[in-house]
Amino acid sequence: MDRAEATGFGVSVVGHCALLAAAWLVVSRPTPPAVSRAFEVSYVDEVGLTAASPDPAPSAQASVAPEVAPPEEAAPAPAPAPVSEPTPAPPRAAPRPAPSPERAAPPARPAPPQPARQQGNAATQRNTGSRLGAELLRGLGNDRNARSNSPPAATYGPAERASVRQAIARALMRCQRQPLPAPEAAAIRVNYRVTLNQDGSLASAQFVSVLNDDPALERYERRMRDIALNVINACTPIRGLPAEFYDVPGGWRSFPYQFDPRTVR
Amino acid sequence: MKAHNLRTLCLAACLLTGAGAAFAQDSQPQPQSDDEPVRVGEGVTTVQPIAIPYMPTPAAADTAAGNTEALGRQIAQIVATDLGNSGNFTPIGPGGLPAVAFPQVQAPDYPAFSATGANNLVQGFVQANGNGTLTVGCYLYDVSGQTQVARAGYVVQPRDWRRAAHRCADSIYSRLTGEGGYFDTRIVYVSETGPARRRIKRLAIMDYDGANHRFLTNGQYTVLTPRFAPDQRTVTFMTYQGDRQPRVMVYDIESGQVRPLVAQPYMTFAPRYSPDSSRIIFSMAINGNTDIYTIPVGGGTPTRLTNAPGIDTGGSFSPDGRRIVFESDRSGNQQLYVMNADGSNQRRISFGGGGYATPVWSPRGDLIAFTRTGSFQIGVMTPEGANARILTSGIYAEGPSWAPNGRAIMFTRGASQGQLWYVDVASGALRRVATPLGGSDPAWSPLRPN
Repeated sequence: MDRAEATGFGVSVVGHCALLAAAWLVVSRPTPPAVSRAFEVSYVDEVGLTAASPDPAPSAQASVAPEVAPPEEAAPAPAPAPVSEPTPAPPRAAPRPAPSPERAAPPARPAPPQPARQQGNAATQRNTGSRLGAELLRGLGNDRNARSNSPPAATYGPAERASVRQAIARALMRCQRQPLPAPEAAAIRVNYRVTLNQDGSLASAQFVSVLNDDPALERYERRMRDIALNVINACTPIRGLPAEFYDVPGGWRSFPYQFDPRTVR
Repeated sequence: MKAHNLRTLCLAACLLTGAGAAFAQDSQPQPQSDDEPVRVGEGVTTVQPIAIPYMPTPAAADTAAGNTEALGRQIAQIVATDLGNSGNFTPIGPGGLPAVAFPQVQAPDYPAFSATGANNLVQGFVQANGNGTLTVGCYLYDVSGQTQVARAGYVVQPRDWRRAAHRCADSIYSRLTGEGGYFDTRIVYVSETGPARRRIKRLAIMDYDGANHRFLTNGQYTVLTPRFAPDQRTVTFMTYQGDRQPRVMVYDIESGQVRPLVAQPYMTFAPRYSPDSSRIIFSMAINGNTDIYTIPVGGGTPTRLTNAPGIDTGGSFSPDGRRIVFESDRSGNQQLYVMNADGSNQRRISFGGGGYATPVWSPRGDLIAFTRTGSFQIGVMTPEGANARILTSGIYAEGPSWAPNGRAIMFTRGASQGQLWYVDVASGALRRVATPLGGSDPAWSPLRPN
C-alpha cells in the first residue's frame, strides 16, 4: 500500500464513519414514537369489557411513602377517642383537615383503605414524605400534583375494540343459526354496517355488499340479505357493552358486520 | 481509487436512504383494522316452520265464490298446503293458531306466533270489491326479527280465488327460497279409466294441486304424451285414431280445435315445444328409420336434425333454445345424446347400463331429467352427463316433467292405473297429485300469466 492509497483509505474510513454518524443522528431523531406510552395489556379472550386502565389521567401521581414526620395537629379529639380501633389503614393517621375542630372526633370509621389518595387531596398541603415507594419500581410518574395512581390512560385501542367486538359477536351468535334457502347458498357472505343506540338497541343496519363469486347463486342473494339482517334484528338490543366506548372512534356505536354461514348443519 | 470511493459513498448513501425509508414506513401509523367486521353465521338446511293463520276479512260479504270469511279460511289452507308440499316448509296452522283481526294483518302479534316456533308468518285478508272482484292481501313476516319481509295484493275474479292463494304461496316460496314459484300452474295429463285392453285415455287439464279439473277430449281416440306450449295457448300430443298411425296433433286450449301437426302419412310422435313456443320438435319414422325433426307450430316443412340409423326420439330443447337432448339406440341400447339445435355436434352423455329415455331439459338449464329404463326410475344428470342420481328409488316411475322453477319433477307412478306424483329435486320429498281417475304422462305448465 503506497502512501497515496493509505491516505485515500484513511479518508474513506473517516468519511464512512462521518456518514454513519450522520445517519445515526437522522435515524435517532424521531425516536419518541407516539407508541412509547405505557399501557396495560388486556388479553381479550379472557378479560372483561372495560379496559384495564380507563381513567384518562394525563399523568400518574407520584408515589409517596407514608409520612413519618408528626403532623402538628394530632387531632385534639375530646375524651373518648381511645387509641382508636385498629383501623387497617395507617395512612389514615393524617386525618382530613377537619373543617370544625369541635366535631372533629371522627371515631375513625374503618373506611376502605384508600392509601395515598387522602394525602394528596389537599393540594395546599404538600406532602413531604419520601418519594421512594413501591410504585417507583412500576415506573409511575413523579408528578406530585397528580392524583391518580393508575398508569396513564389506555385510550380505546385495538385491544379494547377487539374486546368490544367480541362481546358483540357473542351477543349475535345466539341468533346466527339461520335457515339457508339452499345448501349452496352457504358460500354467500353479506356485509352490513350496523349502528346501535346508546342503550344497545338497533338504530340502523345499512346493507353494504354481498360477497358471491358464483353467478348461479345470485338467485339466493336477496334471501341471504334478509337472513343476515334477521340476525341483527333478532339479537338486538345488545346489553352490557361498556358505555364509555360507545361514541369513541371505532366504538360500538357503529361497526361492520358480516354474515358468513360457511358452517352448515 | 476515487471512483471506488465515490461508488462506496453512493452505495452507503443508497443503503442509508433505503433504511431511512424503511424506518419512515415503520413509524407510520398502522392502518386501523376497523374494517374487520363482526363475523357470525351458521346455516341450517332443514325445513322451515312457517305459521299461516286464517285470513280475516274487513267486512264479511257474499261473492260468487262464497262468503269472504270462508274464503279467508280456505285461502290460508291452500297457502299452507302449497308451502308444505314443496318440502321446504313445515306449515303451522291455519287451524289451532290465534285468530287474527283485520287490523292485525299489518301489525302482527309476534309473541303469539313466536311461541309456535315459527320462523316466518304469513298473514292476509280477503276483501270483496264493489265491482265484483276479490282482493287478496298477502304479507310475509319474520317472527324473530319482527319485520315485514314481503307483501303483495291480488285482485282476481271470484272464480280465480284459488289462483290468488297459489300466487300468494308462490310469492312467499320465492322470497324465502330464492327460487321461482310453481304453485300457480296447471297440469295437462292423460286420464285413464277402464280395463287394460280397452282403456279409455282422455286428455285432461287441472291446477297443479288437482283442483279445477276438466277433460279436453272425450275419449273417442287414445291420447298420449301431451305437452304444454310455453305460451300456454296450445297443447301438443300424440294420438291413435282407430287403427291409423300415431300422429302428433296440436290442440288450441281456448277454441278447443285440434289439427295434425304434419301433413304427411308417416308415423309422428314424441312432440315437444321450443322455449319460444315457435317450433315443435318431434320424431318421424320413414321407412323404418326414426329421426328427429322440427317444424313451425303453425305447420310447414319439417327439418330433419338426425340421420343416424336406429331410433332417435324424445327431443327436448335447452331453455336457451340452442341445444337439444334426445335419446337414441344407435349404440345398441337407449342412451342420451346432446346436439346443437341445428343437429350438429351430436355426442353421447349417458353411459350407464340399462338404458336412459325421455330426457327433459330443466327450465333452469342446469339438469336433465330422465327415465332409467329397465328399473323405471326418475333421475337427473347435468347436461354434460355428470352427477347422475336417482330421485325415485323403490317405486315404478316414468315420464318426467319439470316444474317451471326447475326444482320439482312430476311423473307417472305405477305401471298400470298410474298416479301422478312429483318429487322435490333437492330434498327428494314425494307428493301425490290427486286425480279423479288414473293418470299418466303429466306435463307441467309454466307459471300462468297474470
